[in-house]
Amino acid sequence: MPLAAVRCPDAGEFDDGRPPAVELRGVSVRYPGASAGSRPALADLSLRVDPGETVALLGPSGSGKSTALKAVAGFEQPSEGRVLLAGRDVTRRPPAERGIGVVVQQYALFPHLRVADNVAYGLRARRLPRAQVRARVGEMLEMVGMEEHARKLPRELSGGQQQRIAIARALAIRPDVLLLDEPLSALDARMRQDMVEELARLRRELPDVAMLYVTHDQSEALALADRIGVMRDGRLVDLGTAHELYHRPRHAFTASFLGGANLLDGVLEAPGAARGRTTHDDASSPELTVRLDAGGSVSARIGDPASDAGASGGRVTVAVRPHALRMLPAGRDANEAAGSASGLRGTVVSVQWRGTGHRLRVALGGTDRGSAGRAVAVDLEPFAAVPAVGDAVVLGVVRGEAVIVPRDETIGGLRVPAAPVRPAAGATA
Amino acid sequence: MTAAPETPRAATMRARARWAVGSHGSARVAGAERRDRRSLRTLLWAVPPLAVLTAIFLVPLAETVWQSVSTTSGAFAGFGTWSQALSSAALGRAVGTTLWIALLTTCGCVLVGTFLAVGLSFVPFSGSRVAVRLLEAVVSFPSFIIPLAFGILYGRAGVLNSALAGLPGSPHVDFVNDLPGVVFAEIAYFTPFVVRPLLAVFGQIPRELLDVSGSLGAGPLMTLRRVILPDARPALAASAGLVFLLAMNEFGIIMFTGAKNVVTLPMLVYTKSIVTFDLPSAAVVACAQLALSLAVYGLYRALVRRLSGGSRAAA
Amino acid sequence: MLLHSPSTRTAVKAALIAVLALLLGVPLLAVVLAAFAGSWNGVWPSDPTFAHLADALSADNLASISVSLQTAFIASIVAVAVGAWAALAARSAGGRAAKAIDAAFHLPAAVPSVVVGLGLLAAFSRPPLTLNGTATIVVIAQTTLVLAFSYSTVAGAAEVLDPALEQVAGSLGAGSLRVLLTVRLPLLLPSIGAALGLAFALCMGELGATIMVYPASWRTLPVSIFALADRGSLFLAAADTLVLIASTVAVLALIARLRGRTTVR
Repeated sequence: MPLAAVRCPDAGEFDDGRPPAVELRGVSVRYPGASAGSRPALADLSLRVDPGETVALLGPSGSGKSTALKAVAGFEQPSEGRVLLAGRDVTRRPPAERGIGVVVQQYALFPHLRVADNVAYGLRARRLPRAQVRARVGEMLEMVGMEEHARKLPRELSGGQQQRIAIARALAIRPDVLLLDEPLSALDARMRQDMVEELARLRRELPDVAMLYVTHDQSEALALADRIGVMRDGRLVDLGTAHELYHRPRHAFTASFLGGANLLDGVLEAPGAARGRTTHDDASSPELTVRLDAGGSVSARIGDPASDAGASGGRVTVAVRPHALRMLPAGRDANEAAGSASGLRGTVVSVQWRGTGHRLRVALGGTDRGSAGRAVAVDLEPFAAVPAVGDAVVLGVVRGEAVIVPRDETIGGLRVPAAPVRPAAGATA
Repeated sequence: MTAAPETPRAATMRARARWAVGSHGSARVAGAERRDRRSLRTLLWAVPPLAVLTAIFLVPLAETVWQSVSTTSGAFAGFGTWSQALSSAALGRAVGTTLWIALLTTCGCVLVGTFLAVGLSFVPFSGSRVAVRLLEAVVSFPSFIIPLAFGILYGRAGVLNSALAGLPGSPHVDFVNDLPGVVFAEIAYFTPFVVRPLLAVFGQIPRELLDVSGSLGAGPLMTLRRVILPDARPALAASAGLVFLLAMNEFGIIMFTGAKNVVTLPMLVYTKSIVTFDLPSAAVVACAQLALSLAVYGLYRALVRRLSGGSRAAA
Repeated sequence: MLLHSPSTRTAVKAALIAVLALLLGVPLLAVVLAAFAGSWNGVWPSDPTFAHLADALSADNLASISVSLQTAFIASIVAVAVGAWAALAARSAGGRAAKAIDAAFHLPAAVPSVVVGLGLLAAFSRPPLTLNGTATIVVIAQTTLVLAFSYSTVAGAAEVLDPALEQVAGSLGAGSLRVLLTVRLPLLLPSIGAALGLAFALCMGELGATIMVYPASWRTLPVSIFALADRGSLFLAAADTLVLIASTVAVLALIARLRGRTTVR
């Protein structure tokens, strides 16, 4: 399994000399009772969150992102590594002494306490004077727009309202760090959209609070986070700004999880061209040609110039997002039409209307109708002609949108290998 | 054998029940007759078990009440036995002892049971699952196993005393055959009745609630007082009521303890009827006990209904 | 999860173990050890012996065991049959009738065993039904005492039974008897088994009502154990108690196995 080499290495010193709000140094968490040889829930995580910064940990369930958050909050004890808050080592301190605001998935409002008492809980734990508690509770309820619900019990509120109270309760203690563990996953789609906007507003109102936001939903991460860490199998596989991760994924998993890219396996042609040119500017990245296992070839950029994906004759994977694939009019020269792909032939296996446009699934490299699972996803442009299932099509790739990442056989899902996917673990050299 | 033989009184009651149901049915208009006949049939299904209950339980209770005011030949004898018994100090003392023991036992069980349930739920150790299984098993053991063990361990010639005898000044413990022995034995036996429902409640408390409480700055005691215990209050009240009732009615433990000066109402019923064969007096004491038990039971039911109904209505 | 400080956690764990040991561990251990002790004059028993156990399994005691087993068998089966019947009747009656049945069948749990015994003596000591001095009165006494537990166990399960299942069975054309036999009873079987086990265990250890009504010819094991303890033969009483618990557990295991075989999963 490839180790996470962090793309933007965290600098030790920051402009204003303040220590990071949250720092994890090589933190591993192994749940008690787990067998010694088994994979830890969290392996060797190093991460910094600066004051005022929002970092999202993004990953599928079981990827260790929630465990990382629990290690910061003190709900789980790291088996190795250290947790620092504002430069202070809190690894062995209980949650009560960390002063962190935490919002969890199911809100965890105290069911027998009224809304105001829930918000006041942390203030009372600090034995603040009564008048001060009342003032602060009023202030927090006003901030989340819930003043008129102060006397209600949590079960009398809707999911979104409960979420606001949970946030108000966490912020009432004026934490320097706010941890959010899948805060929107229990809401329906529309409510989630509203809450994302709400959180973005809070974000602006609290410029000094560092946030660690755990989610499996890429749109929340893209909307809210300054930086995103992609997690998988207990490890951080990628870390960078949303723009970096989206446009230059350095890992096949990042590409497929963030933006649902199609993964096309192939072999690099014209090796060596990339050597010595390690610029971060998209426009000047060299285009290399990859001969795909499924037939045809694509020219693509290297996602992370520091990686060894550009080695001579290397077996690589090309990540292409569904909206970057185009259907070419039959009979025209593919290379001329799309500029960056040729000979990507396939058969339409399904057509799905998704409101904003059509999504096709196209089985590449022949007429294999039974291989819908191995087909690439193609999002048609709004007014493009829609083919029928069974039609033979030729695909092109929008220039600059194909990215070369190291091949990783352990990722299932959207990839299109020449042979059926092997359930290989740790097959990467 | 499906049912105990019926007494004449039970048969009369059954006939009366049938009649009541029948007249109810015929009073309805014809359109509802079919539905009525079906509900009549379902009600008839309840008659056999109710008849058995009447024969083996309700009739004997009624006979006990009758016995307290009748002569041995079965004639009405007036309330002489009652006034005699009620004016005697023995009955009053027995009532006091019974309630006092029940109260001490309940308090002890609530304290110990809450501690055990909180500990087993939130501070688990390697043997805690075995402990929970043992607590569950003890409920089906005979109650006298505890006083028997107390006798072996702490009795006058028990293990503890023979061990203490070797020490200088030969200290001596002697509480088993007295009120403390009874109370300790009852606490040991009835504590599982508190632990079990509490474990069920605590098992339902999401872990996040405790975590969040901690992250808001609450120490373990505040979390216990403000988050865990409020959730357990209905279950705690219900099991306390149950323990009080069981302790009030307990007989085997006191009997086995051999505490001669601990005379509770059940003990008084036993001595009056089996030892001195004074059945009318025994019946009076039994009536007093019955009234007390039913009153406590009524309160317990009302409490349970209010607590469970309250939470259900609010949910 | 509640305690984060290791030292507090250790202290609380130690206190937990101490309370559990004092409350249950030590007494149960003491009974077991006493059953095999020739003498016990120090901290630990000495002269281990099987004499008490042999005594406990002598002909005289075997008769008591057999009496206890028979009584508990019949009483628990009758109690569960009547209780389950009442629970089902209450459920189909519904409304106020169900509440009345519910209250009536819970009542025996509130009445002290001694009063139940006295009541039986009062009711069955003279014609028309003289049961005083027979085994039947012991069986009736124990049946009465476990009736409420049997009822509430089955009623609790019947209450959470999904009415849709019965309605579906009815909509498929099954008559009420067929619904009872093919849907309700099979679904209630686990609770009926549980009620049977609980009732049997309670009957085996019953002392209060039994001691009021038992005739010399039908002496259950708890009564024998009480006689021994009263005389001061604590080691023998302990051995008899072990035998009592062992036979109870054996029957419970048997019931559990039968339940395991019949339970639909």
